[in-house]
Amino acid sequence: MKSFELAQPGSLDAAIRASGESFVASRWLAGGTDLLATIKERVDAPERLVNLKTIPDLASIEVTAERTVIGALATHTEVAEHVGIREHHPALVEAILATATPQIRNVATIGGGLCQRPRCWYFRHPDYPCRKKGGATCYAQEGENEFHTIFDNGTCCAVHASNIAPILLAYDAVLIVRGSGGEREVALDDFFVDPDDNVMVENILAPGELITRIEIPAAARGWGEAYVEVREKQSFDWALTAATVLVKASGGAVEDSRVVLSAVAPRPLRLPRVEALLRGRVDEEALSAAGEAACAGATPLEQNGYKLALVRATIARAARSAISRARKG
Amino acid sequence: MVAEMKIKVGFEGHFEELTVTLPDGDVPPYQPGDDLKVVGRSVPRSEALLKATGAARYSYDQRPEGLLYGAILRCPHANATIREIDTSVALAMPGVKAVVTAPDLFESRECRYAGSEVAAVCATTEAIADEALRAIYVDYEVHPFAVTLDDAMAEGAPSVGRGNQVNVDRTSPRTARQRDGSLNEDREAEIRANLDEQEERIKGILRAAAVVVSRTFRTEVQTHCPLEPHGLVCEWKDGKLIAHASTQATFGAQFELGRRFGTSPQVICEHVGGGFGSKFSAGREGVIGAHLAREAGAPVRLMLDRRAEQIAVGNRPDSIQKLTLGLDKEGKILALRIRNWGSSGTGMGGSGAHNDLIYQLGEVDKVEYGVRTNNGGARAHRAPGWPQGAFGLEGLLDEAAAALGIDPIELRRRNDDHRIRLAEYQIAAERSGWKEKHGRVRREGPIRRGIGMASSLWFSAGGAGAAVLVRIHKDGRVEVRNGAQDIGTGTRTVIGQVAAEELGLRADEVTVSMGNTDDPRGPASGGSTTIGTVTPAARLAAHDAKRELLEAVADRKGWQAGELDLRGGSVVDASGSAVLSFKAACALLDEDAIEVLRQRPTLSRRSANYDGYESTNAGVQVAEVAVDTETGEVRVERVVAVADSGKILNPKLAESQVRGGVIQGVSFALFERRIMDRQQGVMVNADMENYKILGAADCPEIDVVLVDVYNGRNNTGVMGLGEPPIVATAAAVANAVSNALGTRMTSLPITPRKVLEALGKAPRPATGRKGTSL
Repeated sequence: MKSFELAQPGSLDAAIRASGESFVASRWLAGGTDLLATIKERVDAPERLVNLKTIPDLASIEVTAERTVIGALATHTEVAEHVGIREHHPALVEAILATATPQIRNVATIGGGLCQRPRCWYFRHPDYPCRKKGGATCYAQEGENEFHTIFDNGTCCAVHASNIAPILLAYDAVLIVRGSGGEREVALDDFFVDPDDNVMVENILAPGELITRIEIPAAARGWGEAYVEVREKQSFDWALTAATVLVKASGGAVEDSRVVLSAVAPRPLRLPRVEALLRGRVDEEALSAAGEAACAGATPLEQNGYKLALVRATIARAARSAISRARKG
Repeated sequence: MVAEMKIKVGFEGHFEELTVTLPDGDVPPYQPGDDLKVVGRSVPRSEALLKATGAARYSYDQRPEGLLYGAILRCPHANATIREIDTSVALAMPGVKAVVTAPDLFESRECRYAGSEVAAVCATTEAIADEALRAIYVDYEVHPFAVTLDDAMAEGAPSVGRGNQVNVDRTSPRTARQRDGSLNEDREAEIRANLDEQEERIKGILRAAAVVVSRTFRTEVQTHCPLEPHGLVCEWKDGKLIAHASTQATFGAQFELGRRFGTSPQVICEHVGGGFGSKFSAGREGVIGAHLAREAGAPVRLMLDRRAEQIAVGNRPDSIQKLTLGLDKEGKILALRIRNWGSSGTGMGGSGAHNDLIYQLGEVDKVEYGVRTNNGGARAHRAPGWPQGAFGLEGLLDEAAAALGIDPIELRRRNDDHRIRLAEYQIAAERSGWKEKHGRVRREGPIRRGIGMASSLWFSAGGAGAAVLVRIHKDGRVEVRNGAQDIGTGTRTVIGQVAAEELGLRADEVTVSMGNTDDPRGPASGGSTTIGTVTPAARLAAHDAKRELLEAVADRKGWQAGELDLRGGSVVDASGSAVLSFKAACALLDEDAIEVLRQRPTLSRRSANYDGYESTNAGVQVAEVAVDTETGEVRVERVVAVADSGKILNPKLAESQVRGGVIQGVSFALFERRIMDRQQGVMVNADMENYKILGAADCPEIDVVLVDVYNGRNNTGVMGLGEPPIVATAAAVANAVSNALGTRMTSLPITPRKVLEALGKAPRPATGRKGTSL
């Protein structure tokens, strides 16, 4: 791997200055679980890493009556073990516990989880000049694509790998982004960049910008929520397909629902047409219809048609579980 | 000492008498009822604390003064010829101390798989070495390639081999080729005539059979994934190479490097971080490392990175197995037809799937084919050929049992004459609740639970080729030395137990040194034969050292040596009373130490061991699985593993081997596979993230039952247990999944995708390529 400088700023402003100065290719260093791997794999060769762990107060977690605020530097473990998070955001905890290993969760941060690069093995291999690295070819389209996307894969087939993004999307989470121009709020749904728009990046962060915290409105608290993921291994594996469902129920009827499908597309997919099917009296037939509707528009590749069966199964399961939890209140 | 004696052989409830002839000077085998204090006890692994605390020093940990870091440049193309290679820029870089090229060292400009060695450097830091590799200019002429069985076997496939070598060739019985690769037509016609006759005969038997079952099974390439990569830390001192090699064959590596450099090196490997069969050779990395160290005149560390580890240093070959089995209506197997294909890389051989020795299979018509692909070569991998072969045969036996309406265990009993295994079926059935569970698949929502079993076989009694030195010091310390490697199975510990038993000491009062070629010769640690080869020598050496010590004591004290023995840390007299402590006895020695070197006793040149009882390990495993029919996820919930390995010298360590085998077997059944990109011929999952290995959460409950067998084959009667426990596991798991689903799983690993395909819930991709010539 290429040598780099390590900046150890004591404040956010210093960090942003260190990142932006003199056209140096710099990267934020948080947990480092993904960044260091991309450097070692020679997918990335930054000249400077700006360490965010030396900055105080970026890792705080606050749960108040109005909202939940998670500092971008909070680790997965800190979030999953937080009493308020456990009380109000059980599916976030489920999604975190399905992530990686305890060792990785102990250092990997929430902000880093949202910004991680794709796991596509062509992207991660130094000898494949794929589109994401400025090349002309997506090797997964005609290649080994068992684990790739089944939606929106005309340009790039890499899956958005984050386990926490789908539930945060379902919560209507807002990211507080800071850069040299000051602070701005970005709805999580507006954070992701589709490959057709710019295949080289996965999100809207400009150079020198970073997520400082994530705000979750209290509106969806008390809903039934579930995160269901299928993977090959139970120990440390990436999701083949995952579904996140939130439902608000009163009596036997579902009043409102939010559905996000992940590990099948370049971004977590909010599915309004499936949400529409998960309202009112939801019986097994409706669950099947929801699973089927979630498959609409899919363009599976040679080796990943099986993911459609997983979409049906995970959507129905997550919905069933969320509704049952909503009823139990 | 008696030359001929009657001994008891067999196991609990199955003992019988046998007359054996002892080799000259040997001690009689352990006998049932012997009052053993150390042997047969669960003594902790002697280096356990060192390993658990990180104090154990592996090859990787060696840091001699002035150490340089080596790195290898590998070919990115699946098939290429090096036209030109220019290392001048790299060599001129500050910090770079030596550069070598593969064409110079190995006299070939051909790169026949993506990852083959092209050049190597050593430098003062790893970062400089890495940058130097990038400064090497290589011009390749790139050729077409084939990296999968299907692609290499297809009509019109690119030629993988050299010259007129074909992609697909018969390896057993071997095609009659001459040295230049051309066919010896007459000889080949003769072999073919025999094969045709065999085929016709078996066809006749199959026509007359009451039941014929036929299936094609496939398995994928499994890599070894030792935690410590291949490689060495080496230096030249006064013209002699000293190599801290990560190896399972200290003397093999010594021989190989000695032949290469014309001077015999010292090879040291006190601890090895896993080998599983892939570390028998010093390897190209060993040769490169030694060259770099010589050119640089400084110690060099050359250890592979994980990507190279997955690509360039061996694997268990894949397989396509077309099997047909015919049985009579009682379930007696009449004939088995086997055609199998597998690829061991660009070479031939070592790619067969083995399964034709476990049961009484009637007439066997077996032909194996090797398939050349542009991949790194195969190497021995824990029971080479057997887990994949057992998967095929055991699946077919379950099909036959279903067709005949016979219980699968009963069907196997009817075709088995192994005395130990026959008892093990019973144990496995009882421990697993087989009778209640096999008859009905248990359903719970989308989950179906199934049960399956399979058997194993191994040949691990050991043989000649070891000597052990026992040294009793005047101060009471006892050393036992052998230069072979403890690959991690606990060889070091049990050697100490065997010696301690003879000397009447505790296991921790004996220090065993292994893994250094300056010590007495030992075997390569492989084939599960190390323990059976080394422990008889250790026992004899300790026994004879004891006699020498007792004679010295008797001489000094005026006692009768013949009436003395060592027990419980003391010299005891004929009545068994302690008369002198071991330490005090040693203090009576005139010289500094007693040294006794003994060769491993063998019966004859032809046969190292007595005929004994059963000459092979048996073993039966039962797996229970839960299959999610909506998601295709498979969990192995429980494995009952009944295992035997002759006399169990240390139950705890034996159990650990069985657990390890089962774990690696479950991993092979559900997860592991090399994935080759068919466009560029590159392994896309050459890491330990996308190359999936079972982790703690995937590990089943493992119920190990050890059968302690007195096989009467040598003075310790122990057999190795590294490989046998992996043979049956994947087969048992696959049979359990098939049992749960009611449909035969014919392909490993059993991923969610394959389960969904088997259930008709996912599209089955077209198998093979056009014109595949199976």
